[in-house]
Amino acid sequence: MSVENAPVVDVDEAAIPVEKKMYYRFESNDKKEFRVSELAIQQSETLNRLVEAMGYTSEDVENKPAIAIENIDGKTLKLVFQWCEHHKGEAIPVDDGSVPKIVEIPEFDAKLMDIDNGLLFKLIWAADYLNIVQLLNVSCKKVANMAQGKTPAQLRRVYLLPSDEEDEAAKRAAQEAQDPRAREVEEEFEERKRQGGNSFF
Amino acid sequence: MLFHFPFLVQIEIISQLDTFERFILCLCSKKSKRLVQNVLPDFDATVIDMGKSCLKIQRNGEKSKDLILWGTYENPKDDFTRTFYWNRGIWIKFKGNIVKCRISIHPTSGLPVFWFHSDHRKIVPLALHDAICKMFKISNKLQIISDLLEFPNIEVVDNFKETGYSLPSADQYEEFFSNVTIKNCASLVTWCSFNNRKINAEDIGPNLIKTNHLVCCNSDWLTEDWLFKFEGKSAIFYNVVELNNESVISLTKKWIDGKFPSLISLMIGLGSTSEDQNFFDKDKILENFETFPWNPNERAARFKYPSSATQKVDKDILDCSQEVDIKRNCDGLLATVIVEPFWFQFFVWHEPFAVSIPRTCKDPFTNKTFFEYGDLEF
Repeated sequence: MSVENAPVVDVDEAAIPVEKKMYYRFESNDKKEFRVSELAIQQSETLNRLVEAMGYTSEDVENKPAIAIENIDGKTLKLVFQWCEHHKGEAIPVDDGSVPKIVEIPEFDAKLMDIDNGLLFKLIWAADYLNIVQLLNVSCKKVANMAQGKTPAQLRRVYLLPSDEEDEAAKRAAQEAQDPRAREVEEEFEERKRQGGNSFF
Repeated sequence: MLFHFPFLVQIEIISQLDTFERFILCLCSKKSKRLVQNVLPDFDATVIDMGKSCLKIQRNGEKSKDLILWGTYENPKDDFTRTFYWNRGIWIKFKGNIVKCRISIHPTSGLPVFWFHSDHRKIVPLALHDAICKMFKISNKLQIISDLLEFPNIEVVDNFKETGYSLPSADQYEEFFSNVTIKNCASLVTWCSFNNRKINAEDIGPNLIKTNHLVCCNSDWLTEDWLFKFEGKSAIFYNVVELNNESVISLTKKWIDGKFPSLISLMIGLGSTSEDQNFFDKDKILENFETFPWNPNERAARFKYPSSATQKVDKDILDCSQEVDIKRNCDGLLATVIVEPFWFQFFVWHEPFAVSIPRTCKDPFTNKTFFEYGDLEF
């Protein structure tokens, strides 16, 4: 049957579910552009609110400049959007407050996060900034897993934890940077103590 | 790395760490300890298990789980992961003692293992308990599972479950119980007669009569005099040989006269002696009292057992719907008296309509169902 001879059927267009296929454009701080589906964006509370507030039409998305994400680089943003596209449509988990929090890393996420610690660090920052709850859960789980079977010394190295002495030194340095006279005051105080005085004032 | 994350991310990571990993993190620095303290602990009490050389943690009413192990350099049994020490030692300070420990990680469980000289084996578990309570800001309730030889150097404990070997002489039992006060619950298993003489009830009296909940598996030392001085809330005495019909009649009369103000439950099980088998005569005992059948308007059918060490029996001994009550006039309290040839139960209804639901469990080997009473697990 040719197309011309096909029976004409009236269709109620409102009854047909319309699949949302709008793709938003985002730009990283190193000017790399990404196209992300509307459904994938829903994984990020921050981006979801942003695009809702913007109220872009399909034409706007194509014609207006890409939405800039100033503090995330292209390499990290690529991972973020890969994750969002893979998990689009999934329910956003709600924290039940249990400790230790039970989080399982799916195979896809494990492969995605098979990256160096520097990039993982940026990914966690991005997940936090963009408020992607489940990505934050799994990426934090990856960091938590690094503590397995570690002695305190090993854990210090893994998490780059400063010792008490280093913390003290950093605190003093921060104080001095804020108030250059702090050091002088401290030295004066020590001097008076040496001279036998009990009170500074 | 950890401290460079935003604070909420740090908390997220900490909340995903297992308890023993959070403990290890606390040992790294003061700052990391403060961070860990922002996450509520997943337990509210610790248990020192001397037999397993283990400090356990538990959430109220639940079974405890292992948190820290310990071993001594000199004990050949403690050979796990001895070669992979943390290269720095840590100093543990506790009540004037300073003990140097080293840490390794158990190869299969991942739990931290503290190593120290055997001279300190009765101090370090207490020090670890103290450190954990402070670290995670939980109550310092002291619960110990131990035999009496290995019992830590402490004079007051909340809950104590005796396991393992008995002390070699009656003198040592008496000395132990004159030195140690068990405030809430004592579950004692290995008391027994010695060839030369029994434990003298008078000598172990002062501390133990004030224990809230007492479970004694071997009670051949128990005398009428000692029992009448008991000030706790519940007691179970198995293998009693010195008590008879007159003893429980006197006890019941004393209760009617207003003695034993705290008593909630008393159970006495008779054991056999070499001379003859003693037993309780229900009619002879009950004829001394005015008894009433169960009145549903006065009390519930099932007795709510106090929070003592969990016991397992093959029937629901808390069902009092077929049993008789007595009443004391001074405060109007009801008590249910249950007498069987080798078993005497005395339940006081301080809360006549407290909800009491039967708990059962299955023996994994025989598949037999048991009723549990007492909900103090540790």
